Amino acid sequence: MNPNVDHPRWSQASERVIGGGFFAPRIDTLMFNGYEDEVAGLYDGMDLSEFF
Amino acid sequence: MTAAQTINARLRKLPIWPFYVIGLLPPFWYLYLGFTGGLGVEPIKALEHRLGLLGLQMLAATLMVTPIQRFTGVSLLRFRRMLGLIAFYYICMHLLAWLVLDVQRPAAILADIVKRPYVTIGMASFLMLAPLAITSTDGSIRRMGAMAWRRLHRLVYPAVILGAAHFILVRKGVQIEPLIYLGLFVLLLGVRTLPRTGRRRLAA
Repeated sequence: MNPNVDHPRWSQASERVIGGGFFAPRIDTLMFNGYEDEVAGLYDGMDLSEFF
Repeated sequence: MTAAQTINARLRKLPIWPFYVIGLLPPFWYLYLGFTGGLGVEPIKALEHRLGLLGLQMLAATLMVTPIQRFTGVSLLRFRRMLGLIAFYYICMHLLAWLVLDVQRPAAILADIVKRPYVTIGMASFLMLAPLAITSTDGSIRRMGAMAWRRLHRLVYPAVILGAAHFILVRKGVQIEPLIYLGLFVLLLGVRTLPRTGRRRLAA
């Protein structure tokens, strides 16, 4: 997940965690779902604004 | 006395306020369901969608009053304001669920309204319905004059078409259910353009 690029129909900058009930707060989406250090290398050279 | 006249005589005796009370309940029922797990793991989305759908259904009911009178002679005119106001109430709750529970952040709300066509269209429809709810009192009809009031309240026609468009766009791809709503609204509006002469034949 790339918070800097919008899906055509919604923003990916923030998310509500599923299962949080009615008052689940919105949290900022983390780059690569928080596994940036581990997986960023896998996406080297890929256009992340196209493959969001 | 014809059957329609008998029905009308019975309907005239019905009080209207109990329908307002009943109409107020569904959003609270959905809230209860949401808190007790009845709306699944994503209760916000489910609540939002159910309220929007209820709003569309009540708008359709409101628009049925005139054709029913025309084709069957049964008059539900006394109930139309109640139907329209309850529709608007569901739509307000739908909007509120989206603003407060779903998007939450004011900046994101504005961005969504500007950037996403389905949100823009939904908001436009809401803004068309709001003045109709505000001028729904007898006093407003008197102050505006019946002609001007009626002209203003024709805003419900574009509002329901936009409402159906909002529903179509919100679904992924092109789905049958929102198209059925669009078809129903087109039918309900189209029936109003039929020439008056057709009425007697059908009513006879």
